[in-house]
Amino acid sequence: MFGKLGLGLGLGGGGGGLLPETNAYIARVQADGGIIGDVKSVNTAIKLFKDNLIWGIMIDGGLAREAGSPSYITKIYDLATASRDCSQATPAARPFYVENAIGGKPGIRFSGAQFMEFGNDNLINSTQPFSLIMVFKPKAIGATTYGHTACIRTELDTGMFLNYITTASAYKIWGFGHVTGARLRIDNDTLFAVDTPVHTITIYNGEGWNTVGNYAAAVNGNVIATTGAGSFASTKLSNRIGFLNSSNHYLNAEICEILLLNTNTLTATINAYLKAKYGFGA
Amino acid sequence: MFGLFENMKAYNAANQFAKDFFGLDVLYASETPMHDKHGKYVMYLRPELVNVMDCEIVESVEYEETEDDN
Repeated sequence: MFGKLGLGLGLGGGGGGLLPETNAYIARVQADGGIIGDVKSVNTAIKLFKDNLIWGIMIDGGLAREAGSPSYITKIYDLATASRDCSQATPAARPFYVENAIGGKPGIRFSGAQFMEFGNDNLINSTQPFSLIMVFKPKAIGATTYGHTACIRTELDTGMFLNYITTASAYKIWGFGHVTGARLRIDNDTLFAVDTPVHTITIYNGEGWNTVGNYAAAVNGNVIATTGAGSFASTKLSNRIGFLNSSNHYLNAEICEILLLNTNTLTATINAYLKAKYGFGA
Repeated sequence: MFGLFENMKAYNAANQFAKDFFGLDVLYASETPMHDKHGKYVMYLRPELVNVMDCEIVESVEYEETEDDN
């Protein structure tokens, strides 16, 4: 299926085998006691993005989880070579595994009090172009049910890049930006409705945090107009997905995949990849 | 589901109970819980705990209001 797109989405490596990077990832996960969900899916993502991947998790990739049903997630393995794996040591704060979240692919369910952390170091700096991709499905959106799906550090002291979804305004909104720089949001009750799968791309051109025009955002493959957002909490926390502790903001959603790339030039490839994998988008 | 506790003593006791219930090496929940809008301490309850916890059980929680709007 992927190979028909003409974008190199088929399996890589000689004769359709696995890439050395894929084999290294699988070996690392298995040596740590984790499991690999879909080897072909891992290989495809690594083939397309390995040269640009700063950080990335996919739920059909490598993870570790508790036995039982629901099965709670203890670790999600970073696809990038820096190995910033997501983990959660506190049992009550672990999200759980969902077999079919979006397009037949698994996800992890955050249901109001869960989050996972992936270190404290800066993933991007203030002049780093990037693309931040997220595939998720809101399960509940309320005035205090905020979805801080990724907090990406920068080189600034209070630097933190946020994405969230909320009904804090009159609309269901998806917001993003930096605590001391541009803060934008998209207002759209249809795109961000409960149980509606969404993939979003935040694009930054690397020419200054404080310029709104340096950001762009796409939802399901379409560039969407943004408006200015309000203030962000400036407390510097660990890199995390799921919630922002200092403000009691929680995520209630299912996440399938998050990728952070060191380029803003791969939007067409990203959209083709997401549509082929999850079955929706432009 | 979530459990709501009037004070830290009740919350800590429930947290210890959950640790023993699941046979965990670490405490089940955070030692610094969030508050709901009425100031009660909130603990997320896995399904196995819902019928064995001696506390107020709710499906969702309205947390304390915060200053920022992100």
